[in-house]
Amino acid sequence: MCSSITDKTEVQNAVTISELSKFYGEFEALKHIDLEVTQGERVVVCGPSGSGKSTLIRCINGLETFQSGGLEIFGEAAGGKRNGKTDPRHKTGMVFQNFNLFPHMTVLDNCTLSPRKHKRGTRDKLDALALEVLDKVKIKDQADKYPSQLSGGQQQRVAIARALCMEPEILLFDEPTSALDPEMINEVLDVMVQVANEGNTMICVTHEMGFARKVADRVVFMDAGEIVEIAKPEDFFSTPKTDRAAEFLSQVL
Amino acid sequence: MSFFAILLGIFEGFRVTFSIVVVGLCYAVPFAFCFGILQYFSKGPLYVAVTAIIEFWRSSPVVILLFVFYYSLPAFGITMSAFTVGSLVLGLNTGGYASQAVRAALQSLDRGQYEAGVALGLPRFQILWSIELPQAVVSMVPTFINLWIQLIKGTALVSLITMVDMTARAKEIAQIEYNPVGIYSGLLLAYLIICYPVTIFGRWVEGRNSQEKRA
Repeated sequence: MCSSITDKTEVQNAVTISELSKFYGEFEALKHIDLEVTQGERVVVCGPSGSGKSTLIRCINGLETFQSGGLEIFGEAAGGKRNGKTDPRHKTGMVFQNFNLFPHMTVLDNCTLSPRKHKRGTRDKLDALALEVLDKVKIKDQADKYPSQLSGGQQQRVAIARALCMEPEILLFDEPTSALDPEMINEVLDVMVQVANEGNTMICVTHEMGFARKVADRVVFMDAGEIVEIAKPEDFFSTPKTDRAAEFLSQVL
Repeated sequence: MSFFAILLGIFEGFRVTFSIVVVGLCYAVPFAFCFGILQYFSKGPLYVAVTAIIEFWRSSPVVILLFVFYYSLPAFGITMSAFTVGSLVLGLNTGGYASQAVRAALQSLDRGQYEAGVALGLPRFQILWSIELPQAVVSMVPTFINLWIQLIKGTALVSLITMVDMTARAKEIAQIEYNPVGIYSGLLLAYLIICYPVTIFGRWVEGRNSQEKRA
């Protein structure tokens, strides 16, 4: 029902979430979430804090378990927990709010860790690949530095490079600019726009409405654990259908 | 007997003291990592079992453990040499403490590190080995150095189970010659001489770690 807005019905679904519910004890963090994201689609998830948007993408990535409902990634069911190498969630890459770079490794090693451990190629080949990706996020010259030697914006760009080095089919962003100083937000957003324009499937939890306007195919508005509204960005920002969305927009815009 | 002669006499026990420390460390370090990591991961009955073993070694007085292992166990048909008992008991006692440093260091890591590992599709063991342990080891170092020094000092107790270490040598000299001031200050100095290099080593390691760039 949610994908009715997009007309690319022949395209495969990257993510299919149906009737997904998650509880923390008695508290229902996600209430019967239905969402379909097609391959190549860019979806921005927004909403007030505590609305469950981070929990939702963490469920997609297997960082959170859920109690009921279904989650499919490229048609393969993904259980409540990550399980082994066949888990379809290995197709997802994630960028965190707090970067979560590995402080004991150089920028380059941060990027090559996962491909190395998954034996995607020789060290030289993987280094070369990672340098290409680092070049793309404009931070190649810092490849031999440690994360703490970089600014927040640079660290987040490294984190994006690290996720890209997994060659994921779906990229998840969990408030990637929320921990950044204001002057560093744009350098990260520019990289995200660039990544989006390369046709990657992206699900971004963000408050950056400018980014949503620029690249999102759809905006998902969540409140109190529910999806309240799904709309194209131009419709969502000009004429939100629900009062809750209108109220939220009046606060962030 | 000159003070220097006393010191030389005491150091005749150095080989025993030193061997107990080295073999003790061979018990302590693997025990600390195995049980610290197990305690970090386990739940339910396994956690209780692991904790019970750690607490046994950590909470029992070393003197009593030495006596039990050396004098009581033979009654049940288990006989171990004084050296085995000394290094085992001192090593595992130290290991019990050190396991808590391992567990605490792992627990105090930012959870985001683990999550980043999961998000990169790494298996749990790989996350522990490549991401968690390298960072945790850095914060364990000061505790490990402290415990190492504790272990060295603790070896004085093996003189109670017939071993002729530095302390036993001092007592032997004390029986030949009445010079408590010279002999026991010589003994203190002897332990200081072997403990201080460990302190210096610890400072060197910590200095190296702090140079490494961390977020």
